[in-house]
Amino acid sequence: MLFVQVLQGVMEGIFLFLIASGLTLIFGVSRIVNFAHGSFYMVGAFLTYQIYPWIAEGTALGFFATIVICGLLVAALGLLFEIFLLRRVYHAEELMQLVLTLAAVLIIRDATKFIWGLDDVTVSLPDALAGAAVVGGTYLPTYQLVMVGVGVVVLAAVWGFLKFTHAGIILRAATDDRGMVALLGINQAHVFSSVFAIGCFLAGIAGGFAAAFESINYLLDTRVIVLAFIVVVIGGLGNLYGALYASLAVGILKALGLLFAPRLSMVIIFLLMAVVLLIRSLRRTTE
Amino acid sequence: MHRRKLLQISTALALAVGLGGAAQAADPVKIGYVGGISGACGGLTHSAVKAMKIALEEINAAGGAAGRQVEVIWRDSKTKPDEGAKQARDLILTEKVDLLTGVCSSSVFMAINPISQQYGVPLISAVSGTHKATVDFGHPFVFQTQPHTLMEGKALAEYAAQQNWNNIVTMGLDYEWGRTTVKVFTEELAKLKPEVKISKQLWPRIGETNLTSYITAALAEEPDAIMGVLFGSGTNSLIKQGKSYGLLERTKLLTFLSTESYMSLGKDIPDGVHGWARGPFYALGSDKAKAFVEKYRNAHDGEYPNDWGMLGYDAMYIIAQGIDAAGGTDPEKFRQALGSMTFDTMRGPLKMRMLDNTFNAPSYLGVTKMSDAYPFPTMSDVAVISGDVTLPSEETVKALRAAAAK
Repeated sequence: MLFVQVLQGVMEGIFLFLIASGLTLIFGVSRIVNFAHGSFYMVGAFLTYQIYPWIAEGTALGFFATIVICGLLVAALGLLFEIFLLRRVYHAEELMQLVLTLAAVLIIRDATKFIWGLDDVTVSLPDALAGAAVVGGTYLPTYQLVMVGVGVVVLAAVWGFLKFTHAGIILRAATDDRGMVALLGINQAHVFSSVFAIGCFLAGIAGGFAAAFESINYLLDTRVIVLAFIVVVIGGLGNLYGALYASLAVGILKALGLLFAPRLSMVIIFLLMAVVLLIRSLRRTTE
Repeated sequence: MHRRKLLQISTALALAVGLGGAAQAADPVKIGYVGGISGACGGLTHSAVKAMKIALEEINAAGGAAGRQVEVIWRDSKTKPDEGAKQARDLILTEKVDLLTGVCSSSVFMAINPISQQYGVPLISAVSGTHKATVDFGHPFVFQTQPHTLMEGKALAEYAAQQNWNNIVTMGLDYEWGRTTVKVFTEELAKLKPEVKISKQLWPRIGETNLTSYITAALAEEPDAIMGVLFGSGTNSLIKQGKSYGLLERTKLLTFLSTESYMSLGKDIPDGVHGWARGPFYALGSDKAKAFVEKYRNAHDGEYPNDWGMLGYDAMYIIAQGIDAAGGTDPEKFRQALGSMTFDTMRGPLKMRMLDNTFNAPSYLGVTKMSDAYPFPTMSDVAVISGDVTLPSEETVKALRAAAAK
């Protein structure tokens, strides 16, 4: 029982990571707290619902193609938002940035209501992904395993990109010292734009995967953003690996909590957040 | 201070306007609608609004109520209690409505209820589950035309007692409706069939859509059945995600399944799920229901009405016929009229009892099955559990009211 539930927690954790990775990446580089991250996720989900029937509905290949296309579309939307709006407030006070991303949340929500209505919609999983591998009485749902795989691929890709590519080195430098990077004659605007687009791409594909997994409606944005923030705050704002550990911790704690103390499972997660914040602030004051 | 002055002036103005226009027999009956057109109830309520508009058109075409045309002023509570209360107050004070209706989400109902009491303006809830407004905090002018939580919990227990289920896990949304329904279900089932064990109670939060950990935790108990008190995206996620854990091969599932879930999940709802509903159009055989469904579909691109639409249509007729019988909108006469009539609704003949102004509305339980009749599965072998069986006893009502008065 314990094993099944821990495994379940890991699978849920990886999915959380998929949602939170883009958010933390964007914050790490541009110091923008992007409240609209959940909205981009929601757009990804609705686009998947919209586009999948046009691209070989029912096949696994068509499904993955749809998700990649939706990720790219959401990235394009994010890029427009960054270039035309967000870029203008990088040097303004944080409150301004907050107001701008919150405005995006409201606008995207109303646009979603206008285009797709108020009803819940769902995407049917392709048959190839709908089953489960049964190992000794334990069900390992194919789709959840696929999501774990995607999470690992995303992690490896981002890690490799940051570690080995020229752009990745600039990004890491920008995270440490933005002024220095600018002094070296590197165009910061390009760096910020590409990171924002990558973050939105991740939000878009996470939304696409969610569309086939749960039920989506126009309230998805705020539902998701709260969860993503919990993970990002526990892991440390801007810290990609922190987000990974936090996602896994949240997933496993929730799953185990449900087994032993169903009423407290969410309390435990918030307690974890409180403890992490407390320790972090204590360390800061003693330093 | 400033605010109080503003309130005085606006009240005075409202009174002046109100008095000026009053006492003309040809004035329309004004009904204020407050409902969750957006927010958490948005996905459910839109069908109720569409259906009520159809009923309104029919009623007015047939001469209105008590010889007056009926006018409805539509307001959105955004499914927020404070917003709903604000709208209700505004409808009473500035629009001078004769009655209030609408409501989705128990919390909004509870927020509007005291306002109806304060101003003596009748409030007829068409779609809201809590019993607290009519039972615990009931007053003479609040009415409920759908089965409330005490009734549904009992109907579920009656149904579960007839199945061969001895070990049950409950999964109720962590708020008023989920908590109360699970509580009543558990208590009533213990009376009907004491040997049934409730081995675990799980409480997913509203809006939580990754239910997989709940599913594995529930299945760990190897239950004979899982009883879900979820709606909308919660129900959808439970069924979708449950499938890949072989939930239906390993246990049975009884869950709230109103029509919008069938429509959004379509063929993703497997056969064999035990569902419960409040107004499933496909199970209502009356000519009245069939005519309405056809009319609704013609007006809305072939879309089917959901349960809330059926309840909304019935409620609008109950209001109009009540006003007709009362000869106007005097609250006490209206109440007496409602209590003395039998209403011929789409859900069959319904009566209201004076004890707590609650209608004997039925609950519908059945098993899902795909058929050729609709593009989505529906429930077959629907058992109708009458409100006469599920309405709480007079002692229960009195006890709850005494406890609430403390």
